Amino acid sequence: MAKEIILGIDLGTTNSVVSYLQADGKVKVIPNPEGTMTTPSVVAFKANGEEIVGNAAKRQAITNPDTVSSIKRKMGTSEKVHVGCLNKDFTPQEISAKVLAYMKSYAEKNIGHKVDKAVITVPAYFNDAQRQATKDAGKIAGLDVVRIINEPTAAALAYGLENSQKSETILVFDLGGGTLDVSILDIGDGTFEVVATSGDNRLGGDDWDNAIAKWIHDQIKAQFNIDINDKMAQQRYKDAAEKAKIELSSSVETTISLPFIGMNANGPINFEATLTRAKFEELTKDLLYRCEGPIQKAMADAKITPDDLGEVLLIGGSIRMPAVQELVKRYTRKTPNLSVNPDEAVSIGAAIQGGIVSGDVKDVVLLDVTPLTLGIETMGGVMTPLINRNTTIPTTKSQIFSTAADNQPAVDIMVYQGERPMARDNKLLGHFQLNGIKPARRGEPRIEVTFSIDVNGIVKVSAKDLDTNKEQEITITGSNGLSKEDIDRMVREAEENKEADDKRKEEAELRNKAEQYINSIDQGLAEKGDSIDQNQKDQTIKLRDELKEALDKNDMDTLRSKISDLERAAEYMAQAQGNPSASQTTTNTSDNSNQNTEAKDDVIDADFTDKK
Amino acid sequence: MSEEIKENVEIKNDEDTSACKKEKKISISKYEALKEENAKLLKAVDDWKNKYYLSYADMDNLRKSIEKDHREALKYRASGFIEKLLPALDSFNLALKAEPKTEEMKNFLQGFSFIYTNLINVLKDEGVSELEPKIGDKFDERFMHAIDTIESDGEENLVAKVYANGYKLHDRLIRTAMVYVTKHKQEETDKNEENKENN
Repeated sequence: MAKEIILGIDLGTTNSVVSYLQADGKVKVIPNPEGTMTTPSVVAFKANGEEIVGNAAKRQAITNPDTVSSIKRKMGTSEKVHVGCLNKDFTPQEISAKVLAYMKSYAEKNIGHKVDKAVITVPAYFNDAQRQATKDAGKIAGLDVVRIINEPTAAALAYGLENSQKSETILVFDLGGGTLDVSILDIGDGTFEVVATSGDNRLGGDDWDNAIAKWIHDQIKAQFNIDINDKMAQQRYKDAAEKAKIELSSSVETTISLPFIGMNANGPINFEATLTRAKFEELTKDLLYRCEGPIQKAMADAKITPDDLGEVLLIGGSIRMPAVQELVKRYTRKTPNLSVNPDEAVSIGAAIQGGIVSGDVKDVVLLDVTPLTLGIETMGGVMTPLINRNTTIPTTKSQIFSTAADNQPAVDIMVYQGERPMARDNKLLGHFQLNGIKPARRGEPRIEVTFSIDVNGIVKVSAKDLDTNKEQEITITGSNGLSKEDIDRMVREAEENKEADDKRKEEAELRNKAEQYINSIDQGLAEKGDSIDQNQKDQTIKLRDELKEALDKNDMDTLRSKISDLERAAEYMAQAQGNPSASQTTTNTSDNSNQNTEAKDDVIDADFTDKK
Repeated sequence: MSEEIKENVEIKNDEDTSACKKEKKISISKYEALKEENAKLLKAVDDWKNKYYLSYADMDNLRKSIEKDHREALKYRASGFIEKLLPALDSFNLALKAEPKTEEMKNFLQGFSFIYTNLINVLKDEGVSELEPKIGDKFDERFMHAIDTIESDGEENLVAKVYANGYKLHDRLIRTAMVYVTKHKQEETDKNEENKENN
């Protein structure tokens, strides 16, 4: 096989991400060898010629002066990077190429074969020289860069905006680890035009961490009257601060705990404090203020007001902070869209662009799903599903059922659509009957019920007696007649009534079980009553009568408490007869079938009522 | 006038009866049209067959990919949980480094040491291993993160101090050990400045 795979690469200042469009049309973000989705854009050189890229390079940066990071800031310039241990100069493209080559290699390992093409993203404000340098970096890394696309455009692709029928103006707010970029795009007919950009290239998540770290240091100083500021402590403050910031994105307060942070005359100093979200936002209000300017400037440059905006997209890890989301909402008067992973959105968009370039997206077969569960009514009025909602079609599912009564000559197949556990609460699509079942005990005949949905959504339901090979079938064409509102309503009703419905279903199943066991006991008594121990027989009859009464009175509590005793009694009877226990699956039936069926083996369409 | 061609179609019923030949007359242009349509249909059949096989193969590959992801998810299922435990484990390590001044403190610390050992043994049973660099070990960026340097006249790039141990789950790194590394004094300050310019 091989639709050509084109990698989508977000080549970031601090971190990079690589992904690709899979055969099923979904984008997969590829983890690096250490298992993380983002790879630091860091390259290190050693005197023995070894080159280290990514997480490992970042970890040894402080020990090795020949470690290069943030090379993106130099792309498009003629500045070279001097590597002392090799006494050699590298262009920014050559350094970037090493990051790209590293990502190419682990991507290929993950995918299982070579990949030679990529789409790489760049900031919207990159000029021609910077874009060409990025393309050259790809070439050096062994990649044919089929497209260079803007990061905000990639974000828009990740959000599916290339399929938008209308023209609209969108704002992309990208707050990463070290930079803020705000872009305004005009989208229409699948084209994306950047009309304005603004930003702050020294503002990022690290600044929020530093604010908390300082607060922790100050709190310890105030509480213990000691200034603990050694390198170890600073590192602990930094780690605790980042953890607290992340927790405050989903909680309104967090506990910062630093045991053994220092020592004084009384022994170890253990620090613990609660930081609320409100306090955190107060500590960082000047950072939030710095986010406002770029939004206002970009909108002013684009000559638009908040009313002109169609969508607002948030990307970059730092947009997870609620205060940032609130700020963007306040200035744009739109609820921002952050449904795509903000760390991966740009790479995902690049992968989608790769799919469009390679023609993948056109070739993808778009299949429907069945919007609601399809099934039949079984004993006790229970809905037994055969095809669950959201199953991709075409599909076929079969299940074996049986009769509910002895010598039952026919089964009624009632086809329902919906999510409620009791059949009558769902929509009846149609029904038919399969006749000619040979006389047999309940539970012995094998009736195979098959549901098929073809690619056009036409539902066929058939029932086949596996012993006689008699078969009946109906075709239902009205099953997709429900509107989206109807479907949503039915799903919602199922959720709202879940507790009550589950109780009703449980009661129906309990009744079914009780009836089966009573039946089994009656059979056993009739056939082998004389040979059973009298004491056991009396106890069993007493229990059977108790439960029959409970069934008649609909006394669920008695049924529940005595059902296991009844099960044991039924098993005892079954063993006495030398039979296995009766089958649990049965179909609801009508016993007074008056129709004469034609004695044919071939399939005929039964008379049925198509309920719309 | 279109030329008629005779196409003899022989139909045999059974051996006892004589074979009856049936003649069918169609025009060349109709024949060519049917032949062309037949070729198109055969090609269409081929195309659909290939699409079916491709689709089947894609499904099979997707299944394999999902199975692989599932196996990995199972194998490393504890990694998120262990990451959350790290601050507590680090605190234990810090506590156990304290030097007790009194007999009572000594006993408390011994108790903490036992608790810590119990905890680590449970984690080991789950496939966790501790990365414990020692002072004087050579710095190795595969398992260690150099968080800062400490001046030293001796050999460079040795572990000078351990901030925190590292942990692995089976063969996957959960967190590297965090260490301070020896560095010579002056020249490194200049080189660090150069490094910072790149940021």
